[in-house]
Amino acid sequence: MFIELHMSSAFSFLRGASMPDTLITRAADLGYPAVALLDADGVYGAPQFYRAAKKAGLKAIVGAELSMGSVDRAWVLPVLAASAEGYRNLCRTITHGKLRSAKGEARYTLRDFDGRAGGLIALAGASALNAEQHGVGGLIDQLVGVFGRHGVYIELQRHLGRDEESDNRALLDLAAAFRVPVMASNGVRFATPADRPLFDVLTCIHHGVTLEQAGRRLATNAERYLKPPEVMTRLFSDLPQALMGTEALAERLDFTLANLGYRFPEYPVPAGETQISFLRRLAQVGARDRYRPYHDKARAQIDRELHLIEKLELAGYFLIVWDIVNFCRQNRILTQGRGSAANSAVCYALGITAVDPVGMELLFERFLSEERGEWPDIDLDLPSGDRRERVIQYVYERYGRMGAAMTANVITYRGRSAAREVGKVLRLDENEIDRLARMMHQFEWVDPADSLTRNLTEAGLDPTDARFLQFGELWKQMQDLPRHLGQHSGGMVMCQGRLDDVVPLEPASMPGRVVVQWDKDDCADLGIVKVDLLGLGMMAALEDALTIINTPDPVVDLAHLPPGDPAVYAMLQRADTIGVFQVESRAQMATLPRMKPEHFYDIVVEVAIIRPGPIVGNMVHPYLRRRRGEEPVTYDHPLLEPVLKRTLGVPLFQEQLLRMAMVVGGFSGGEAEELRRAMGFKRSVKRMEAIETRLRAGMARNGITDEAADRIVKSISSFALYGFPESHAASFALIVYASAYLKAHFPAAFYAALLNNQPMGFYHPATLVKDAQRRGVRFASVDVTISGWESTVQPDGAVRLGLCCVRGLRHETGERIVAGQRKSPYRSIDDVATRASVSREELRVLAEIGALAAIGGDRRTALWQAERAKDIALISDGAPDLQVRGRSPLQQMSLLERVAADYAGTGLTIGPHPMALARASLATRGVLRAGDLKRIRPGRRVRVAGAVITRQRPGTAKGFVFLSLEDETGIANAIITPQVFGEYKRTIVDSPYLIVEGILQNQDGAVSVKVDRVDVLPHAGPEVESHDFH
Amino acid sequence: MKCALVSSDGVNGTVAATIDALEDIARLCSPRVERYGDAGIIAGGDSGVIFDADGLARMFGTADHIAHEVQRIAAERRLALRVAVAGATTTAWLLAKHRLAPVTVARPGHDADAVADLPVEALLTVRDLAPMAEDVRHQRVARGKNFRAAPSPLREHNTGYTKAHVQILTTLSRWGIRTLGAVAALPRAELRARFGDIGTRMHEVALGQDREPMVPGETPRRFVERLALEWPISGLEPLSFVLARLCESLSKQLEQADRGAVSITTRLALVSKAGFERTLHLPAAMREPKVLRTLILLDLESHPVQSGNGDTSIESSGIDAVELEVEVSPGRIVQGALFVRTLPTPESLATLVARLGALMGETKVGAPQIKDTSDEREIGQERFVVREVRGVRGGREGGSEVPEVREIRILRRLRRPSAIRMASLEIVAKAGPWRSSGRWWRRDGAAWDRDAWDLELKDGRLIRVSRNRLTNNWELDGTFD
Repeated sequence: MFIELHMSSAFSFLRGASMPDTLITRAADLGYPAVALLDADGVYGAPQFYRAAKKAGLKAIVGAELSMGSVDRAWVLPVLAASAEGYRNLCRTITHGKLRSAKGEARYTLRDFDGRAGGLIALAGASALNAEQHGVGGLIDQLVGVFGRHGVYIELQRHLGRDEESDNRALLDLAAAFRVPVMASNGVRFATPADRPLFDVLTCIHHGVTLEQAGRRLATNAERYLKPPEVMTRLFSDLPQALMGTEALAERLDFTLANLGYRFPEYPVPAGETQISFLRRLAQVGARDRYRPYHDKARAQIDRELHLIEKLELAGYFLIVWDIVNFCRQNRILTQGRGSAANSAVCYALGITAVDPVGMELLFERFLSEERGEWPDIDLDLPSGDRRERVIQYVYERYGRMGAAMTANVITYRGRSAAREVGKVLRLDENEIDRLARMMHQFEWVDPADSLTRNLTEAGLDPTDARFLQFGELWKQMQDLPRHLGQHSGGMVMCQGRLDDVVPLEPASMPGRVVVQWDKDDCADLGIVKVDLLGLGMMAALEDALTIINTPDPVVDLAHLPPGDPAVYAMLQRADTIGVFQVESRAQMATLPRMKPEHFYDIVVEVAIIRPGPIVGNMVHPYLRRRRGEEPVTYDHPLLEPVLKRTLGVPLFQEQLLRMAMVVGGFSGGEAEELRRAMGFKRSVKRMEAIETRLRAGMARNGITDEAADRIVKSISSFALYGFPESHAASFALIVYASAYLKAHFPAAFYAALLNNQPMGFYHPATLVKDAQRRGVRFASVDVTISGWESTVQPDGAVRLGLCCVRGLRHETGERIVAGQRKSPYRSIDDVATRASVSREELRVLAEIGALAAIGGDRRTALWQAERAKDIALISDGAPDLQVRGRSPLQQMSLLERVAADYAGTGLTIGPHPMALARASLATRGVLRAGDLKRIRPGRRVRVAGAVITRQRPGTAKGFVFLSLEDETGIANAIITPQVFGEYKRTIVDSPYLIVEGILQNQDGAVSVKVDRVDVLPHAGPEVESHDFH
Repeated sequence: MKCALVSSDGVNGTVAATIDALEDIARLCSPRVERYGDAGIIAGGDSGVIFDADGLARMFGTADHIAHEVQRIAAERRLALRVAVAGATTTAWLLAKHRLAPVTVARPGHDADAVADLPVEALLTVRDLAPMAEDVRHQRVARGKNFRAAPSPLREHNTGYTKAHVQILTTLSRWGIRTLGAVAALPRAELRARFGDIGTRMHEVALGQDREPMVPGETPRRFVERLALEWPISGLEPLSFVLARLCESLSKQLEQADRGAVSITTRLALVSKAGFERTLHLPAAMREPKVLRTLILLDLESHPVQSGNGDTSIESSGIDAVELEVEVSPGRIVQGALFVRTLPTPESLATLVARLGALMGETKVGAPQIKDTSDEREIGQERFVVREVRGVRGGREGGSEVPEVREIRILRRLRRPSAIRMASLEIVAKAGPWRSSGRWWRRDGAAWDRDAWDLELKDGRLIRVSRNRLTNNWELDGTFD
């Protein structure tokens, strides 16, 4: 029987049009017992291919198509892994080629297989006829020399092309001459003939041409699909040996990803210690430090966890994570474990997490259980930027360049990118492409009534035009196809020995980084342990703020902040949370006044409750009503009261779900976690039914039957989709409290730190500065004679903006300016230009934002001088007598011009808000200020205007759009119904300043305007950046 | 005093004037005319014409009268244009280009005032400023960690400005300089210190000063020969004598001007009062009278006279007058080489191709062209040219080995494949199917999807047939020789 041993998927990046699972589905439908995936220069699609094949009961053979030869004489060598050794050799060869080349430009020679050919089968096909070296005969001779006579097959393909037959004749002659077997394949590039148009589009993108220009680059016909075995048998009926060759070869290829051979690295423990004994020692020491006193409950929990860790042989993993945390501690890098690791008392004792799971009664089984049979997941939050990079580099040093790597992030074609590419290929004009790209997925929420016809009409395009209909079809097919490989933000994988034995490595675009060819899910599925080293802007900001506050004398210790600080809770209750971690978004700010947090656990709930899950699951309003006493606290069964008491009978956390199953169904922790997974997003009806039967049986044993049982099962099954991990929320709540504390008590340092760590958070720096000013924080402008690279707090308490705020100013230039300040004060613009080697464009920006005021006069005078500063400096060698002095003939900037220049040069202004400048005329039109709204009676019709700083259309809000309009007094929230949005769509999306009109709403202090009319506010001021979630 | 003419959008039945039309109008007013614009103008696109209006007062009156006279002539020709009169060429151009009024006249000695309110972007439409702007040092800031370019008030891709232009305009915008009047108010030396020579020129322009005198262009020379006949002639043979005479004369003129004809337009005035015109494009610049005559005659032979009243031949319709006009290019200089095989001259090749064209039909002579498509039916044909092949030696061409071909079968492909009944064929042997499909994105019938077969028939013929997979029809593609 014919077996297809040469398929390429979309993971060949523009050289294949079907996803691996699509190919497997088709192969299973056609009755293939095994198939092989050979993606271009990698095994990118192999995990998905393996997963799908395992599910379908097929054997997934691994291989790769390697790009051989030079660019102008390129040929392709398909290689299959016959054994684990072969797979190792394949990974090593690919890694070798990738790491010596620039990203995406790897080319291989047969020499690359020296010592790495064992267990590999090379397929010499028509492409090898292009290889110039030594002629074709010589090449086959070389292949036989490298791979052995049994390691080479001559590959014949028939796509009903006229020229193919002469190639096949030549290949058959070569096979006879070198006595190597032949095999047939179809060189599959897509699953079905219907995928050919998409394949042609991808080919055009690959070559950067339109369909009309592509000519012979396009496929000659649609024959490169996965053909049924009987069709292939008919096609090669004259060459039965080629058909039999595939079966014989498939039998020899006994490697699949099931035998990956991955081992997690062992931590080097001191002599006389084992991994577990050392971990035990560290945990006990840490626990004594954490728990004062080290009480029995904690001791018992830690013993229980260590016992399980020993049983599962995970001690090495905990030690390695501890090692990373220890490195951070020694290097004063703030770090905190997040996610389910916070359920572990051992993690708490080791200093990996900061939440006491014993004190908070968190459920360990959510983190680790015997039944799960997979690695636990520990994510570490680190300050983003340089400090996180230091930790990553430490891991590389510790485990070697070939022992650790970042996980990949497969960038896929999505709405806009797909629209642009398809539009270009179909030769639509620029204007049409722009409109189509804008139209595709403007916001997270997609209107169910959205159709291509409607969207085209809205975008002003002819919905009957066949080109657009074709565009729509191809755009849809292209969604989620891999586009290129990026690197994951923080996932690192490590290996005992060489990681490139397990998966090929390749260089990342960031220098010093290496990535594996698989993403984090693929790694997890194949049992490769990952540690997420995630950069969190707020961690960096907290660290910076503490540095400012604790200089020169220590004032605040983050680990010992006073709990229950009234100023913090007062601030949270009035939603004064711009800049505060996690609770600063519009939705969080709308909930805080209703929630009125009073205790730490309220913050934990607040973090968890404003999530798509609880919102869609209708948990928010019942919880808030019960909290305000407007609804009685009830439980589905008395047994559930201890589990749900803390959340007033409303299940909010995943841990509660687990406990519910344990309490009512008698499940073990591991079984409960299994239930959560079975009922989670990747639901399987079969698994769910089995587990529900067990749950009902358990409940029956506890006397819970009939309606009560039904209610609990329903509650658990709906809630399993939406619950949030309590441990994760608790870890985040700690950072919320810390950031709120600093905002409340050290606002200048807090805002300075936020500005130094941009981009981060929900708001742009312009909004942060205005918020700070409303709180009484004073700001001083950027000044080249005083400012450091980062913003600082001056002895007078004002925040001096740093040079980092200046757009277009290079970091190196900024550092040179600061170094120059330390040597001697700057005397003139020429002095700055020459001593700090500031480019003219940088000087222009500095002059425009007033950063040269101390040495160059007003902004226009400084601009006038900056334009020739370097010329003078060159002539005078900086001598003061030749320096440009005096006023310029230019007019001074007006206030509005200064504000506009600030926004252009720094993205923020410490001067008046642009809306303040338009206030007089707005007042005559009856437009209120955002700050006035709180004092107005709800239900009244109001008109408010401002710069649009956020536009949101959340997936959970049924098409409602939320705008935040900022003016000089604060932020006004506008709620726009789908109908109103439909009416004013272009105005809302395109205009930077808006006037909105509607009915004022005030829900327990959360003020908003339900808008029914929207107007543009033209020329109100410079364009303010908006935070639009698409 | 200078007068500038710039084309404008047509209104009330008028159409935008072309540059040639503008020049024609200008030359009716003054012999000193200069085309303004061309490659130098980057923003706004179109160009215009300037004429020297000094001394025209006696003919037309004041500057205002001159401008209105120009407008009157344009109106007669149903052309739309804007006219401006000013002391300096540059000022006249700026006013004509940027003022929307049909007529703008600057008061004598007040050029600077006339342009003071124009936006600074207008500077970049001045001929010598645009290329100068290209020389402005353009500083690029390397993309560092903190790089985030400050937004420019002008967006290159929207305005068509180059980066250098954007930089000048951005600097002026940062200075708060929005009009030419504001530029004029700046000290020239300081502007020069900041922008170099371009700064000086900007200042001059803003003050209405020309840097260089006007350079009037020559009147373009036409190469036309016409002969009105005493008695009408009929047929190509008598016409050939007339053409020989005209070609001789034209050839002499071309030789004197060191020009060669690249196209010849033949105009015949027929007795029937109808006109006939035919333009022949030549493969190379040539002026050999015999060749020109032969080519015209062959062209007329293969393209019979098509007059408006249905007469279709020179034999049946007498010719009253013959006119030849040639478009020219600089004369061709041919340098032979001692060791290179002599190739046919363009003249003899053109004559041969023209003869073949007359014999076979013009569209049936040429060289086959390789088309970048997988559609075997798409056959291209291009003009036949002789190419020199260097270094052909025993089976090797250009250094690469030419494979030995044992047998060549030539497929005689039908221009339009004809339908064929497969049942009527007695097939001895077959090869195929060879499947090809493409242009699936086209909705105009250009998409194809075919299976082709090569068949040997019982009568010994070898043919190629194909089955259209979209319609399931069989067609004969061609036969093998």
